Amino acid sequence: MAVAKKCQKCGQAPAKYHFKKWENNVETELSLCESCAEEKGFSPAAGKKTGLAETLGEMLGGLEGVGEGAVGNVQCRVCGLLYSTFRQTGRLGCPQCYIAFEKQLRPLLRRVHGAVRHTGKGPAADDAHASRRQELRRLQDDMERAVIQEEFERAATLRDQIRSLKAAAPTPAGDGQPAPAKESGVRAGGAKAEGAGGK
Amino acid sequence: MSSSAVDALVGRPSRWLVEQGPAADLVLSTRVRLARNLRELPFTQRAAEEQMGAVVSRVVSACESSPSLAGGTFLSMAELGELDRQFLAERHLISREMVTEVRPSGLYLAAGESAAVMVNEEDHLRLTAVASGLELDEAWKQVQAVEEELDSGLEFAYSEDLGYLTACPTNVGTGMRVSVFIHLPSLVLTKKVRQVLRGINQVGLAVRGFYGEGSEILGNFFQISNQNTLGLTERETIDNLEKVTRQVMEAESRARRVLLKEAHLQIEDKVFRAYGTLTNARVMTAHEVINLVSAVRFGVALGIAVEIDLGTLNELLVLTQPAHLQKVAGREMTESERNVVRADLVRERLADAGRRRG
Repeated sequence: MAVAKKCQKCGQAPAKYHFKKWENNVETELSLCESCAEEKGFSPAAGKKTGLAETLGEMLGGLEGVGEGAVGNVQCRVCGLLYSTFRQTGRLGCPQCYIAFEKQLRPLLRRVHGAVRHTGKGPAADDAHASRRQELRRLQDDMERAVIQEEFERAATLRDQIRSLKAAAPTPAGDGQPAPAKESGVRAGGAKAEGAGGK
Repeated sequence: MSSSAVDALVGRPSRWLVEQGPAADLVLSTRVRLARNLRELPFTQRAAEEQMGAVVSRVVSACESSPSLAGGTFLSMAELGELDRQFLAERHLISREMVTEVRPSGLYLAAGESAAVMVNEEDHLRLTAVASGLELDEAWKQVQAVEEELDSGLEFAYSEDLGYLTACPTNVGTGMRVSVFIHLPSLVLTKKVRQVLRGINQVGLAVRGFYGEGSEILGNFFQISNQNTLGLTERETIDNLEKVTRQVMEAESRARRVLLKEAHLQIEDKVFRAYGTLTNARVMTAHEVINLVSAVRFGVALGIAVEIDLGTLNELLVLTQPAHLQKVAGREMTESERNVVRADLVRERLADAGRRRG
């Protein structure tokens, strides 16, 4: 079997997509390179391009070199996941990773979702704090705007308001510490090996 | 025990396939999925075996006391053979990953398959509800009811800023994935599909193939779903998808009118050839059936006289899949055996449908 087939349309680029077509009960096969496939209107690329996990990988790759060099060594204290491992797998280790990698995740979330803040519903227990949450959000947005506009005095006032509002209410769900991954468990190798390796 | 629960599904069609909801000629089904994780445990892929076991037992016990899941069953993946798991994936009940990954995981399935909870997929819980046709509100209402009931017995990982925390940051926030399974033959035939799909990508929605992420596009069936889960409310997410779906449906209808006007005879010929093959062939692959069903389905939608209903055609898409054929036959079969049995099943089903109509 031919391994690296050439595109049947342009005859130059290696074929990347293979289409099968049934017509009058006869099966025909068409192999096309990426740009010819796109041109022909079968564009698996159209859907693929934004295939989430793939895109995430690309985005994470694209972020390399941005920021401090040792970013990959940042580690979640709770589950032991290294940021570099996340970059390879695209999967976080535990809820607490969102806090451990907050700085790195922020630009990523902005690129993926176009936003960095949840506006949907929350657990019933948490919705009791919904109005406080909205108020906090408004203050935080104002503060960010103030910083951008270099109105530092106003930003400081807003920061103090945020602090006192946060102190006034009990901490919401989600801040609890998850149990660390078991050392002896199936996937336990992770934390220790990575910590030591520090790749 | 689990296997007999799977056996109970054999020969019983999923309701969303047979029933005909709004816009059923174009939209086969609507699905809403919510990703949730338990607050104090690592995500599935980083959890130790006993932690995964703890997730299973907590989620199952919460499911058992959920009124919306009353009469449901838990299917433990570890107790199922690969054929049973494949069968569940063909019914879109579990992910393809759950077929191959061996770990403490499972599926809590409501009676009638209208709602289900995958346990220890990439996230601890993946709640789904399915409705026939374009029924976003109905599917959302169902999954929300299950979610709220489970919320009272489980503590989900949640933060005020980021919402529900998920293993993959692409799901964080609402953890919600809304999708419609749509048939777009006219757009494909008039070569407009690429343009339409590109537009969909630009407004933050994704298009996938027959079996979800990374799967092939078969028989002009597409899945359109939201990508963003952060910064939009559940309501906004649903409304966006509904709006775009209606635009796509409108584009499909326009293309349909053009085809009927300019190529009526050719379309009719294509539809009847497909019908002729389905009702007469002796050997058929699964892909061939999907493509032929797509053509006949198109004919039914166009009102070209074919003695068949959409429900029967939809059902064939699932019933002719490899694991379904083998479960119905009650034995494992080679591919060439399956191709014969598949053709037999298609002929029988279509003859039955014809008799019912005639």
